Amino acid sequence: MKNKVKLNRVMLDKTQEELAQAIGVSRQTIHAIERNKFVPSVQTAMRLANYFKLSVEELFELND
Amino acid sequence: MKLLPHYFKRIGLFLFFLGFILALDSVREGFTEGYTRAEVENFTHILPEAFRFWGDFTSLSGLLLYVLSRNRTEDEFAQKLRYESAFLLMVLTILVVLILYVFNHEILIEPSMFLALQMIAYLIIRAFKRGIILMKD
Repeated sequence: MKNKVKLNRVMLDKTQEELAQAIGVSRQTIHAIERNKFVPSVQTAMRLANYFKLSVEELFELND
Repeated sequence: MKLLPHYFKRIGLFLFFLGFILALDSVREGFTEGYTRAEVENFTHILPEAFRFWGDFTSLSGLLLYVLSRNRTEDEFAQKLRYESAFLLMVLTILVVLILYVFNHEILIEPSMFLALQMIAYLIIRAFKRGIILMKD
């Protein structure tokens, strides 16, 4: 699964730590999501999407 | 999974090293005898005999507290690492026991030593997996 978390975070000029605190996860979790090493739960995906004011589908997409 | 508060990690580490000091004679003896458990003559004990048991008990309890305590920020990623490491540890344990049996089917290992090794291996595997996942490109 690919995602645009890093792109959106950088556009908002936020650090991984700031995003992690806003979402309620660790910085390592944000790092792992951005590197596509970890697929977050629906709850975390929705929190991320809400934070960036996007839909989950806009933020995450399935690989072909 | 309900876990202990984060500060139990520090208590666990303290107990682990305290137990290590209490069981100093066991550690020394283990190094001197080697895995053949040959009796060593003129082995001088530094601490009273009862300290051996309490040393084992304290260090194992410390490790258990450390393993069962929360990370500073506990989330799904930490849980995933925990479950994957526990599964990998189980597979590795079975493999190691099988391999040891192939070479020596009469091998003896103390339960406390076996459990301590397992818990230490679990912590190493978890740290290693976290390091690999979080390694920069």
